Amino acid sequence: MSEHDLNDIEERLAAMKPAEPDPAVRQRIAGSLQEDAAQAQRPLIFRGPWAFVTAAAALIALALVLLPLIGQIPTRPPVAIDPDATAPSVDEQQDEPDESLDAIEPMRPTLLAMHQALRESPEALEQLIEQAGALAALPATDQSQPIPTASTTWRRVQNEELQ
Amino acid sequence: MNEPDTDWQAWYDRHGRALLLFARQFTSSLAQAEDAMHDGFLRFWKRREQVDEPLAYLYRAVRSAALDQRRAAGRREARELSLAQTDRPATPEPWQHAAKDEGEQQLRDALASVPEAQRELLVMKVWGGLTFDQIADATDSPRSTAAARYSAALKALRETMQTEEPTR
Repeated sequence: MSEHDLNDIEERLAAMKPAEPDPAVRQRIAGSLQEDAAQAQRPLIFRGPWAFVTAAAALIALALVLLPLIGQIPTRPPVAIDPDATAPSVDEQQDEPDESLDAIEPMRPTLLAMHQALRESPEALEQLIEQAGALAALPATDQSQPIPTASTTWRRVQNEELQ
Repeated sequence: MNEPDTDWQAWYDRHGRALLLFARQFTSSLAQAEDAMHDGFLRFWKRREQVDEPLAYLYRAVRSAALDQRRAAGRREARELSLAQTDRPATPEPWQHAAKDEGEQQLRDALASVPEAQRELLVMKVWGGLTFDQIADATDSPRSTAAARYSAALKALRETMQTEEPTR
């Protein structure tokens, strides 16, 4: 095979014209280069991986600022306290039991009442239990017999203690 | 900023056709070749001032992008073929015009049949206008190897055409 043959093939190859790339390729390259140029104009901290580092640092800084404040935020509105107002004393509360509660529902003897009755005597406790049993046995509409309530029981116990 | 834009367009106008043909040597479709050309050209443009031989680097970048495309396409095709056995769709010819005559068609067929390593040298030398030094730079091989391979590629073409001639 001579050098002339090879040159001939080379010339024939060169005569073949490759196809033109699609115009879209040029447009894509132009778009990508414009995007790169726009990115290059931003400060370094807003480019590529630095943008993530910057965003993370900003979030951490924000959290550091906000966390102490979150601890100080009240969870419910503050209650206005009247300096002149006085809370009812325990004695007042004991002297004036709320009768309205008794009107709602006749109460069974409380543990306190039973305890106090036991301190008094076993008979007093038995009496209290009997009263409770009678209360349970009463029909709901039977109002002829007085129903021992917490307040009446409490009063009775108080009176008995005073005696 | 307009200055660099004009520059890249000049590079693109001068080498676009050969680059697309070059990328086609490694890829199975025109779309993949165009993607490779886009990626490789961008890579080249960003680093062109840092390399000694920009033209060789341009071909090296497109070659690398084309091989990336081929690997990605290979994985995709393997997945698709596992689902449905289909024939590969015909891709358009990488030439501007249809073959003028039987001889040209024969040359095109012969070119398609030579090994890829020889084809890429032919494209770089004949259509890209690279020197053997530049080809050696682009292919990471000694100049003498590049020249020898090119000569071997031409011989292979010639032989292929000679063996096909009697059958036609």
